[in-house]
Parts: sequence; structure tokens; C-alpha cells
Amino acid sequence: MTELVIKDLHVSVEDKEILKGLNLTIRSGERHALMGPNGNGKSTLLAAIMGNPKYTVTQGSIKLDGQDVLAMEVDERSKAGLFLGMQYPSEISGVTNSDFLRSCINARQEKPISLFKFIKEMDKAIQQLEMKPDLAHRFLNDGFSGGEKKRNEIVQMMMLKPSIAMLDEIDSGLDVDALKIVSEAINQCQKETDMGLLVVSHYARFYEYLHPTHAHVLVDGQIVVSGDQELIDKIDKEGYEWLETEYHVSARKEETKKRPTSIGLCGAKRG
Amino acid sequence: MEKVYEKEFNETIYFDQDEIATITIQKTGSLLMVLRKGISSLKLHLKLETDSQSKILLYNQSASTLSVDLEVEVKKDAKSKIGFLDMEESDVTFKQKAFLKESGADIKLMSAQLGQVDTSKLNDIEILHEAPHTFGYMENFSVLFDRAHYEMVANGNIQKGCYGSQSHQTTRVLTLGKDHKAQVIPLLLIDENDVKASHAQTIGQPDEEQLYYLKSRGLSQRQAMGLLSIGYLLPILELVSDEATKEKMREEMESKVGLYGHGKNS
Repeated sequence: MTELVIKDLHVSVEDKEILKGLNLTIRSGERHALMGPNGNGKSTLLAAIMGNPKYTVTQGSIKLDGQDVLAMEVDERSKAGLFLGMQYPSEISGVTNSDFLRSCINARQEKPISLFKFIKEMDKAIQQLEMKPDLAHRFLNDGFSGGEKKRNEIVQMMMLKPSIAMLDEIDSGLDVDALKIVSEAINQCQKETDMGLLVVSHYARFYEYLHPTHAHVLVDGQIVVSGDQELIDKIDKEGYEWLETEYHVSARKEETKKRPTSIGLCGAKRG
Repeated sequence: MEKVYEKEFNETIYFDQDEIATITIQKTGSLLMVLRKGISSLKLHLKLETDSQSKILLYNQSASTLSVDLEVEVKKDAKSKIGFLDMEESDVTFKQKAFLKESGADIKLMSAQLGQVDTSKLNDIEILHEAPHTFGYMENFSVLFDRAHYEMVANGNIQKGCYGSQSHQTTRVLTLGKDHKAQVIPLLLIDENDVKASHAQTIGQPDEEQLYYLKSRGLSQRQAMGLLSIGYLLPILELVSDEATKEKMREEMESKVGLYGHGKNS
């Protein structure tokens, strides 16, 4: 049984506090849905757990089976059993998917994985996600469509077999069919590994497939209400506004970036 | 040394001492030239005859200071890719000049260099277009460690009357260490209107987002940087035809950038 315990977590980005005392516990086999208006800290929480250097933890603790996650480097967190399926996975030209994944698997075990076992497992994951068979030989996320990138995150999750997997809007960019395929793969992976899941999504349909055991709403850096499928259904129907009156919180509005004004002319002379 | 390839070929040549060589290629094939211990200077004249097609890789394993002077003549409709792979912990001076003599001549010059600690890698490359409808491409990739010194002068030179020609070049330098020095001078000397030409260059440290992504999957900083470096060096192996040799060279690459070969942990 794995247990990820987050207590009184405060996280800042560029001196701006995003998470303001967040508490959450995730155990093996559980499926937590994390919801909330944009810009209120969902992705920040996941990134802080994984150790993204852009995010600074100013207070609180994250423990994985009693181990201090905050004292670990990013790679140590991964090797300890944490996985983050990213919203915007990096594209890395020159590194093939198979080389990358073999290196990752070998980094976490004493003996290197046999080539036969590796190919078998990768083929299985690729087939389950219904991806093109040449995935293994393509450069990591390079030239992938949005949906392919997300599926590739799940391929990696299946191969790395984490004890706690966090998925950050992994359903965005997926069409209806792909959403079902990805959900089934996640369900299958959890069945095989009994991993705990923390899933960020805005879509009730994704949660319908995943059947969360827990649901939380994050507003202005704190979890203001927790519940189960009923809570997801309510938010799907009514949105987040009722929370503001019922729980006396005010959602942080996403900042809109100012666009430069176009003067409608190009300074360069056309020859 | 003089050598003429009149038939299809796939050969490895070893150089163990200083050499002045002329190689003439008349047909299709690939050539691996391994510069081993004992050589400090190679002067090579390559003649790529009409309609020939070739892939040629010079692989530095000399383990000591090396100077290479390479001249390439490219005749009508001859097509060739020529590369220089150098991962040695020793200084290198590499000069290369390709003459595109007749129309349809098409050449791609590639280099992949690992600027090991305290080494100096000085390169001067030129493709001279002497006929219309000639094509020159340069792709130079390097990865630099502490106090490495890298210079790359890459010159695409299209003479007057060489209409319909193309000259393109890319230089990418990944800096991983401290106190390194990288100087990249891309040149396009063009004396004709109806041509296409481009140059691109990047010099810089690894992308923080990419490093974070790789580390989030369990790779150490060193392994992550190693994987990113491999991305710079690997493309040149397209010039090696023999799969077993390619695999061996690739393991050598992985080891040199800190990945320690397949399946081994750092």
C-alpha cells in the first residue's frame, strides 16, 4: 500500500503564491479527480509534487510512504514511484521513444531490461493505445499531434508502472474515441499495478470512464470541497459559481495577457 | 594512396599513419574511413564522378592531435553525403572544401563533434558552386564540455552564372560545461540572383523544460544531458550502411556522452 500525503502545502511561482495550504492524501487503488476553475492551482499542485524547478514550495510537506518527497531530486521522485503525465509534453528531437523508455526503465532497476521483454511490453502498450507501430522509432514527441503526445504519456506510464500517477489534462486534445481508448488503458494499468491516481480534467465524460473514488475542487490555492461522483456531476451541471457563495471563496480569475496592438502595416519594404 | 571504385562498393578503410590519398568514386556505395592511432595528418582528395552516389564517413579514433584536409570534386549529377565524426579527447583541425563542378552536383557535408574537456575543435568548411543547378548542404552539430573550444566557419559560395543553385546550412552547438568557447561563422557568398540559400544556427545550453521532462521519467541530470547530446550526434550515423558497425558506434557515442552504453546506469 502506497500513500502520498500532502500537508499544508504552499507553493509560489515567481513570488506569487498559488497554493495556500493544501491538504490531500492519495492511496494505492484510489482515483482522485481534481477540479476547479482555470488558474487556481491544479497544475501547480501536480508540478510541485513532481518537482518542477519553476515552482517553489514555501511551506508544508509531501511524503510518499513516509519519505520526504521535497528533499528528492526530480528523477528520484520518479524512481520512488511518482509519475506525471504532462499537459504539454516536451518534444525532443534525436531521441527515439524506445531509447528514451529503455533508458528510463534501466535507470530504475539493477539489471537492464532484456530487449525481448522491453519490445514485448512496448508493443503491448502501443497496441493498447492504438498508436502507429512506428512509435518506438519516432523521436520523442517530435512532430506528434496533440492527441498522439497525450497517448504517448500513457504509454510511458504503462511502461514505468508508477505507484502514484498524476495526469494533467491528459484528455485535452483527444477526440471521443481516443478518450475512450486512453481511459481504458489507464483503467487497465491501474488494475495491473494498483497505482493511486490523481487526475486533473475539466470533462465529466473522462471521469465517467475513470470512475473516480474521490473528487476535490481546488479554488484559490486550497481544496474547498471534497466528495465523490456526485460532486463531479454537480459541477458538470452547475459549474463552479455555487461554490463561491456556499463556501465563501472567490476563484482566482485567469490573467489575460495583453496582446500587442497591430498597426496594420509592415515596416519592411517589399522589393 | 590511390583508389578507384569502378563498381558498387561498401568498404572500411583504416588509416594508421599520416597519409595523402586520392579516392575516385564512379559508382554507388558507402565508405567508412577510420582514422586510428598513429595518424596525425590526412590529406584526402575525393573525386565524385558523373552519376555516382556515395555515403562517406570519416571517423576519428586517433586519440591524438589530428589535422584533416579534405578536397572534394563533384561532377555532373553526382550525389554524395560526407561526414566527419569526432568524439576524441584531443585537438582537431578540420578543413574541407567541396567544388560543385557540373550541373546536378549535389553534396551534403555533415559533422558531429564532441568537444571533450579542454579540447579544441577548429573547422573550416566551404562548398563552392561552379556550375548552375548545383546543390550544397551543410549540417554541423556539436556538444561542448568544460573549456572546450569550438570553431566552425561554414561557407556557401555561389559564383556568378550558377543559377538555380541552392546552398543551405545549419549549425547547432549544445553547451553542457563551463568556460567553453564556441565561435560559429555562417557565410553565404552569393554572386547570382536566381538561387536559394539559407543558414540557421543555435548555440546554447539544454532546454530546461526538456531536462525536466527527461528527469521526471527517472533519468539523472547526467543521463538526461547524455540523451540530449545523443540527439546532436546520432544523425551522422545515417552515413553508415552496416548495421552492426552502426550499433557499435552508437554505443561508443552513448558511452562518451555519459549514458554508458545500453542498459548500464550512470
